[in-house]
Amino acid sequence: MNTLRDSLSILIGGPAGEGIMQSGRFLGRALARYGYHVFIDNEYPSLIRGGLNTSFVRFGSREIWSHNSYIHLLIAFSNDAINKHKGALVDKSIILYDPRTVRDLKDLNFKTISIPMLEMVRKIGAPDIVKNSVAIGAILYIIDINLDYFYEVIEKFFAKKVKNIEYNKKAAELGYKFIEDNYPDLRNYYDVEKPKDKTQKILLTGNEAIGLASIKSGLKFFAAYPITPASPLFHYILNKQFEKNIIVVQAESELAAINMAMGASYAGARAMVATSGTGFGLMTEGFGAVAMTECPVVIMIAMRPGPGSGMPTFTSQADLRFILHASHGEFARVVVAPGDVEEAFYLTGEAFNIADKFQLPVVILVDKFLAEGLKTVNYLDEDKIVIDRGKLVKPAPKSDVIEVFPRYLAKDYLIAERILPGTEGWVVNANITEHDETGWSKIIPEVREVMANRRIKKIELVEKYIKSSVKTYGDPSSDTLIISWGSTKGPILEAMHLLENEDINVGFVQVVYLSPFPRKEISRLLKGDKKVILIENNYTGQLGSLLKENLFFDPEFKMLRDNGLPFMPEEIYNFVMEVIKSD
Amino acid sequence: MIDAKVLDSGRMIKWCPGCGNFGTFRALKDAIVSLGLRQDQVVLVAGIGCSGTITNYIKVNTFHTLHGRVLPVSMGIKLVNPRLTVIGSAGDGDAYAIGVAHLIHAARKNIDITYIVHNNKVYGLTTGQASPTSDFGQVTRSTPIGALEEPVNPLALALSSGATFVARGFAGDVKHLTKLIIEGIKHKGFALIDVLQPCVVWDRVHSYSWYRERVYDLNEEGHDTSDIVAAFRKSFEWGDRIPIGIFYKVDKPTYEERLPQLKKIPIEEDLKAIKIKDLIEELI
Repeated sequence: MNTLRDSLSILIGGPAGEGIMQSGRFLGRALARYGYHVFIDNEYPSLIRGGLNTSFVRFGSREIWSHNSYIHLLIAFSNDAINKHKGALVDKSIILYDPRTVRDLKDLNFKTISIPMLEMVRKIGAPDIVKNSVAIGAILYIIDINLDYFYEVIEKFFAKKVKNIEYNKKAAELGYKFIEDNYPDLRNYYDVEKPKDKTQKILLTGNEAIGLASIKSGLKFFAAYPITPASPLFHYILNKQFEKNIIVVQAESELAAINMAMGASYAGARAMVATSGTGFGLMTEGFGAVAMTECPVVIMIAMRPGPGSGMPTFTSQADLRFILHASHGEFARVVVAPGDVEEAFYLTGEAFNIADKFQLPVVILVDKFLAEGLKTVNYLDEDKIVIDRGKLVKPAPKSDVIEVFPRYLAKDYLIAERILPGTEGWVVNANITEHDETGWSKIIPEVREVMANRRIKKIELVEKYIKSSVKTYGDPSSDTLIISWGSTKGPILEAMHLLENEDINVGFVQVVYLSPFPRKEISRLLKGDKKVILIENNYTGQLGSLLKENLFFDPEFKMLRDNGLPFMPEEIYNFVMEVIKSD
Repeated sequence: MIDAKVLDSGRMIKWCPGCGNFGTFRALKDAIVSLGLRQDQVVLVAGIGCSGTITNYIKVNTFHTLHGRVLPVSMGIKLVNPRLTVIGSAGDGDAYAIGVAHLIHAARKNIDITYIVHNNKVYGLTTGQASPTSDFGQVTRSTPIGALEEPVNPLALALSSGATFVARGFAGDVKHLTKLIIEGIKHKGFALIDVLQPCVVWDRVHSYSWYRERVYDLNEEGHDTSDIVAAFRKSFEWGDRIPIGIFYKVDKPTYEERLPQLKKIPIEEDLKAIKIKDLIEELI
C-alpha cells in the first residue's frame, strides 16, 4: 500500500513554540501553489513550550482526503520526533535532522541526513525559528520542486516584513543547496506523480472555511470565550472584523457569549458563537433560550475528548448526543456535520439561512481533526452562498399609535413573521417564558399547546427544505456499506482508495444532517442484505444509537474509539478487510 | 410628549399590593416620557423574578430573558443597533448573584446601557430566600439562623469594575428615582442604578418607613460625583443614614465609540453586497 506513487507523506516534528505547525503550513501552501493536493494534520499537546508538536503534510496528484500511517520524510528537531514516529517509517524513508537537537541515531535502519540547520541560520544572522525554512528547502529539492513556490508563499505571508522574507528565502536556499551539493541523487527521489492540473489550490482549515462562509453569509456579531479547538475561528473573525465590519466580542464566559448572540440576533444581526463541548455545556441554557425566543443563532462546536477538560488539543466525536439533547424542554434544533473543509464552507452558508428561515438554533458540528486540519480545494464558489433571511419583514406604521407586532403569530403557519426592534410604529417582544403571539407572557396550557408545537414541529419544515442530508460514495449497493458522519469522511475515502486498488468496492453513507435525522434516506440505503460498518470517533456509537432509535437498525460491525486521534485510512482498510472476510 | 399611560401594556400587573416594583416601574415610565423617547426606539431587557415580569406591563420593545443574563442580551442588542436606547431591568438575584459576572464586565466595557436593579434584599418569587444583598444575620426562609455572609455592596462593586455612572434610588421616592433614571439614560456609558425596594411580604424589617427614616440625598449634601474615593466611602455608608442619589459620574468613551466598525450600523448593512474574494485569495 505504501508504494503508491500518488502521494507522499512528510512529518515535521519538534518542541512547541518553534514554528513546527507554521512550517507545515508554509510547505503545504508551496505544494498547493505548485498544483498538488495537500492534507495537513497537526498534533500537539496542550502546552506553549516544549513537548512534541508534529505537522503531518501529505500531498499528491489526486485529491488527498486525510493523513495516513506512513512517513516518507521525517524532519526531526528532537529525538522525541523520531522515537514516537519511527514505527511509521518505510523502506525508502529518510530522516532529516538537526545534529544540535537530535543525537544517537545509530540503531536506525533508515537513511539519515544530518543538516546543521540551526547553525546555518545563525550564520546568516537569522532568528533560530528560521531553521524550519532550511528543512523546507531540503524537502523541496528531494521532491523536485522549484524554490520559487516557497518564495511566493513567504513573500505573501510576511508582506512588508522584508527582513523576514530575506531570512526565510536564504534559509530555504541553504537547505536546498545542502542536499543538492551533498546528496544530488536525491532529486525526485520518490518520483511522486506530478500534478496533472497545475492550478493553484486553496489550502485551508475547517475553522477558516467556516469563518469565510460566515462572513459571506453576512455575519455581523460574533461572541466567544477562547477555547481549543474553536479559538482559531474566533481569531479568524477577529482578524477580519475591521475590513468586513463585524462586531466581535470576547465574552466573560460562554454563558455570556450565547446570550449576547441571542440579543444581537433579536436586534437583527446574523449572529454566531463558537466553542467546544465543554464550553457548550455552559451555553446549554442559552441554547434553549434561543429556541424559546426563536432568535436565529448559529453555534459552531468543535469537539475534543471529554468529559471535563478531557484532552483539549485532540479530536473526538463524542458530543453528538449531548448536543441533540442539550437544554431542558423540547424544541427543534438543527445539527449539521460537515465532513471536510469544502462542505464546511457551503454548509455554513446553509446553516445561516436555515437559522433565519426557521428561526431556531443551528449547530455546525465539527471536531478538532476538521477544525484545525488543512486540506486543499480547487475552488470555493462564494456566489453559491445566497442569503435568505426568511420572514424578516419591515411593515409600515399602522397608525399614530404604536402597535405590538404579533411576533409569534401561530395561526396558519409555523414560522411567524419577524420585525426588528426599532421598526417605526411597532414594538416587538421576545420572551423566554411561555408567551402568546404578542410575546408577552401567557402561562396557560391552551397557549402552551400551540406555541410548543410550533417550536417542535418546525423541524419538519427544515426536513423538507434540506436538499442533501446524506451523501454517498463508492457503490452504495455493494454488499459492504460503511456508515459514518463528520470528519471520519476523509480517512474513510482514503481507505476506499486503498480498497479500490485491490478491486474491492464498498459503499459509504455519510450522514450530513444529524437533526433533522434523515431516516428515510438512510433507510433506503440500508435496505438489503449487507454488512454494515459503523465508524465513529466515540466509544458508544452515537450515530449507531440514532439508527437504532429511528430505524430499529443495529449495525453488525462497529469501529469505535475516542482516544483523541483521528482514524488512519489503513486501520479502516484492515477493519473492512476483516469484515469482508468474515461470514 | 407622550403620556405615561401610553406605555402601559394593558396587562394585569401581578405584583403584590405595595410591592416596591410599582415605584420603580412608575419612575421608569416617567423617565421615558420626560426624555421624550419613542416607544419603538426603546428596548427593555428584563430577567427573572418578580421584577422580571415588568416586560409584560410596558409597551416598548422588550426582551424577557434568562435569570441573570440581562446584560449580555442587552449588549448584543446595543452593539448591533446602537441607535436603540437599551435599558436593563433585573432583580438583586439576577444582578448580584447568578449574573454578577456580567455586571463586572459590562461595567468594564462602559457599554451604553442603563441597568436598573430592583434590590429588595430578598428572593420574592421563589418565596423568601436570602439574596446576595440580605444583611449579615438577616433571617430569611433559607437563613434560619441569619445570613452567614456579608452582603454584596453593589455600588462599590460597580465602581471598582469601571462603571461610569453609579447611583442608588429608593422606590418610595418616585420623583427622585425618576431623575436618577433620566440621568442614567442620558449618561453615555454604563449606568448602574441600584433601587432600594421594600418587599412587603418576605421582609418585614426593610419596610417603606424603615427606609424613609434613613435615606437622604447625598447630592444635596455637597457630594462630589466626580470623586471616586468619596463615592467609595459613601457606598459603605449603611445603617442610620443611607445615601441615595448619584454617587459617581464620569465621562469616558463608550465601548461602542471604541469600535471602529460601528461607524456603520451593523443591521443596516447590505449583506448581499459582501464579497470574500480577497479572503479566499489569502489562502492560496
